[in-house]
Amino acid sequence: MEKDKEKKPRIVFWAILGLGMWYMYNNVFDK
Amino acid sequence: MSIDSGFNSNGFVDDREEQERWGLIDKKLSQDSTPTKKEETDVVDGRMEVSEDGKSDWAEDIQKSSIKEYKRKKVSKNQGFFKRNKREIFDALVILGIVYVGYKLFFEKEEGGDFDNGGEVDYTPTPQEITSPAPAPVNLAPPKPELPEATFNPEA
Repeated sequence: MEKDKEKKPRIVFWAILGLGMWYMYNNVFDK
Repeated sequence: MSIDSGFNSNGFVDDREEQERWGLIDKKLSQDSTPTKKEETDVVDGRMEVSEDGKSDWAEDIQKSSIKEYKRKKVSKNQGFFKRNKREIFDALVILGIVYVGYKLFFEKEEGGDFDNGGEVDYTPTPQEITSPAPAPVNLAPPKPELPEATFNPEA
């Protein structure tokens, strides 16, 4: 059953997205 | 002239050939069916074959499959961080790219625009040249009119 499969937490995805947003907040976006 | 129908004591030739063909087919089918029945009886005899070591077949199979899985996991561990998480990394980069492009297109403030300060008024006074006032003319006392020498002598 596919429903029973637990979804693997996408830690790497969220880590890279967070770091990227933090970098852009500090260096790209105007404040 | 007569038509050779091939009819002998056992009937027509065609019929006999047909009967032989079907007889062969029946024979083949009956031969094939007997071993399958035997196999079926072998499978469903309810006994588990155990080797001399005391290990049964299913235990060996499970051991093999678990060893295979272990090796596969070991290989996947040695593949490296990037290969293992390729999909997640690319997903994150795509989203970052979309955010960056969207910001650059729609939200970036243009440099040197007319409303650069957003309507705020700058109240800091601009430095202006302060012209030093001309030195005030020194008002000298007007010269005293020369009076005649005092020659008046009241005693006289």
